Amino acid sequence: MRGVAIIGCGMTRFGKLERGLVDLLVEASLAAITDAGASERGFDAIYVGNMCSGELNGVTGVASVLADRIGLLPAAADRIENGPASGGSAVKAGFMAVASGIHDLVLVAGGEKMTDTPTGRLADVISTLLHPYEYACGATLPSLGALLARMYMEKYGVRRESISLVAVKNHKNGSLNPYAHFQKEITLDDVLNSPVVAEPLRLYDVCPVSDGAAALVLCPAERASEFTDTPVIIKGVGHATDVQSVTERDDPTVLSALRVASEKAYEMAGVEPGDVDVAELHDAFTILEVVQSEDVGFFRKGEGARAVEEGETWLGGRIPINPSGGLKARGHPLGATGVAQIVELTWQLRGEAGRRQVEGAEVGLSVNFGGFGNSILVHILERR
Amino acid sequence: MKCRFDGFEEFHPGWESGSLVSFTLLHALPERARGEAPYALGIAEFGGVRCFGRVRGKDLKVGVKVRAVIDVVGEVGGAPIRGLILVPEE
Repeated sequence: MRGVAIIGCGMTRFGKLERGLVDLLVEASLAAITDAGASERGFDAIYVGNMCSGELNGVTGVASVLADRIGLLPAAADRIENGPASGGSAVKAGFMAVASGIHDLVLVAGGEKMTDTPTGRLADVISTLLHPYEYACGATLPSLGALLARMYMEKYGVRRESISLVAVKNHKNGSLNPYAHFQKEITLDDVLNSPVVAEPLRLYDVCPVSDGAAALVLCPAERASEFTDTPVIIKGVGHATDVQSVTERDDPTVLSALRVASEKAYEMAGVEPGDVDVAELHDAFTILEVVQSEDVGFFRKGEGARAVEEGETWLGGRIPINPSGGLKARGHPLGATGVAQIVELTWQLRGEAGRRQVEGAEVGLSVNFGGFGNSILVHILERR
Repeated sequence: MKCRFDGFEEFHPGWESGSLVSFTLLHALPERARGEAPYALGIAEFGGVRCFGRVRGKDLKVGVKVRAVIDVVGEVGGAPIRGLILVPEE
């Protein structure tokens, strides 16, 4: 297996944007290609992470449309759909294509255009990824997040205020990120007094509806020096699946797919949780960052909220989580998120993250969460 | 009953005596629930089996005793779907 390097990255700002999905993908892709110095190169393949272009935008086949729009013909083009983990799956597909030797120069993009769709309709479309019985009962993703939050608080004796500190932290980080949907700090009172979405989760416990796109350029590690002096290496990839119905899991407060995916990624990368300097976790709901920070191995089970309270996951802490602002503040255009997490880590490892830079970061980890935790991807990156 | 086999066995968990494991009152409703008031969803355990359903009743608390009844829990494509309604003991 060949080593795989990230030699370029780029993204649009996330938020409520005027442009359409393909325009967003074009903007992010051209930024990544320019960053890689690959504007004159022939690309072998394009992988585009996207969940709902047909349902939300009336456009399908977006990968081949992107190849045509940015002049990468005749590169092979695939759209990858894996729910909110579509972006992470697209990165994995690009990694495998280069690692296997099938392709040399690959563009990975992810994007979603969501804000044109009314929120009730969006909730319907997104909740089609739930178990059909839970869907029929009227469940949505936030409702499952709420059920998880209550079970977690009961089991581990955690106060909901501790969980909501994740939102305060991530909005503070987002205020330092010019690409973030929300660039404004909030207080714990703001979270606790915001409208109820699904008790006990309130509006500021939940990620926003966003538009946006992100992109990476990958090549074999041994050829990275043709393009850049600062390649970032994809050292580990893990991906695992869990029972679709949250109710039927052995312990619904444990993300078993994350435990398996992270073990695989750590083993491939030859690192341990304590070696990770910066992480981008999938905080679609505040409770998810807490639970993921435990099941990825940073903290013992039940200790994730305490770690937020004590500043361990804030910028300047032992293991900064979501310096980008995470899904909570950077935003969550579904198919873009898994790619944007790796764009942020690439900037962090290259020392280009500006006011949110984690000093001396050498190893970064991302968690992209599909379904309601039934498909989870972990990527580990390292500065060469 | 084993994975990757098509055999099933009947299991009777005792729908009269369950315990509420978690619940939420959903305010941000999906389009398919248009016209409904905010509704509660929950998970209850019956004889070691965890089940998901709609919840009836007020002042819900984790650990309260519930029974399950079968009734319409929603609609998909215009067709009513029957499932579990979790009802706390008075």
